[in-house]
Amino acid sequence: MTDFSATIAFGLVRRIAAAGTDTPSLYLLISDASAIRAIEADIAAEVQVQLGVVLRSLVAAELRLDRLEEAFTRDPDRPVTLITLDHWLPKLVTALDRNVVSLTRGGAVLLLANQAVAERLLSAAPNLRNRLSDVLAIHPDEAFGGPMA
Amino acid sequence: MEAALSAMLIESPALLGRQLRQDLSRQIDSGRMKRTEDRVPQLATLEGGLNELKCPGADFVDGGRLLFDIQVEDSQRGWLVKRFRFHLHLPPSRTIGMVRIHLNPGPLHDPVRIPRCHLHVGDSEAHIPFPIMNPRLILSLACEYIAPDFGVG
Repeated sequence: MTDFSATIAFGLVRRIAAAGTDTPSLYLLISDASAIRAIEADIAAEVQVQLGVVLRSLVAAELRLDRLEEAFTRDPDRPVTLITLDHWLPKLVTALDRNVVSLTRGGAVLLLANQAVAERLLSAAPNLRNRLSDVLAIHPDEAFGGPMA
Repeated sequence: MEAALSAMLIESPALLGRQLRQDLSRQIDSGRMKRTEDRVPQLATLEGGLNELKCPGADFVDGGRLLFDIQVEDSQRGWLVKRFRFHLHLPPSRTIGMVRIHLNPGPLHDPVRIPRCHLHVGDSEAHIPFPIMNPRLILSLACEYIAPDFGVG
């Protein structure tokens, strides 16, 4: 797989802040499976500190395919949405691919996946792939990592 | 002074570190500072329930440099600031080389001679009383008011 630019949550949220949270953007974030929880916590903390809002965090496995529109409705108080794909969910990925316009209408969307899931997603979801603002290898923030981060 | 310090509760050392990093980023965005490492300040755990946030150096575009370290202590009420040291090295063109703002870890015997929070101008060992403020405000004060003004002309 291509070596993507490496970042930490701090740099990612700086990019979102610079673009503006109203700007539709879609990032695929690739992480080691073991680091996913720490990265979720890092992103939530940086969204709070840098943007002053609460991260909207969706668990992929709990998303109902028949109610995706509802899940993607813009929430002005939570303009950044994180969807963690911690295992391969082909039906959900197909649905996300079909509804990619709705997906990004609400602001910034971050798809967090391990490398295996990310590779499958990139090949199985062409619409989504074409809409990606960037694909980044994301690492835990070593400066402040931990449960209270 | 002690009351001001005990009222200044910190939610968590990590959150304060992220906020300080964001504050440094704002100084970069405003053109006052050069880009620093994304991993500054660094958080470390010390002995005795202390955590330390350390910035070994952030450079101003005019040649100045800011270093700081902040120690916070876990207490039953939450995290409290125990000590900080902000060292602002001014550019060589200034008549004052350095400004230091210190919060000592505890009150000394003679708070009139050495107030717990104080300012040093240049190499002077005189302790000029300084109000106890949140470290984020000290950072802002150092970057936006002291750095561009002290020792000019």
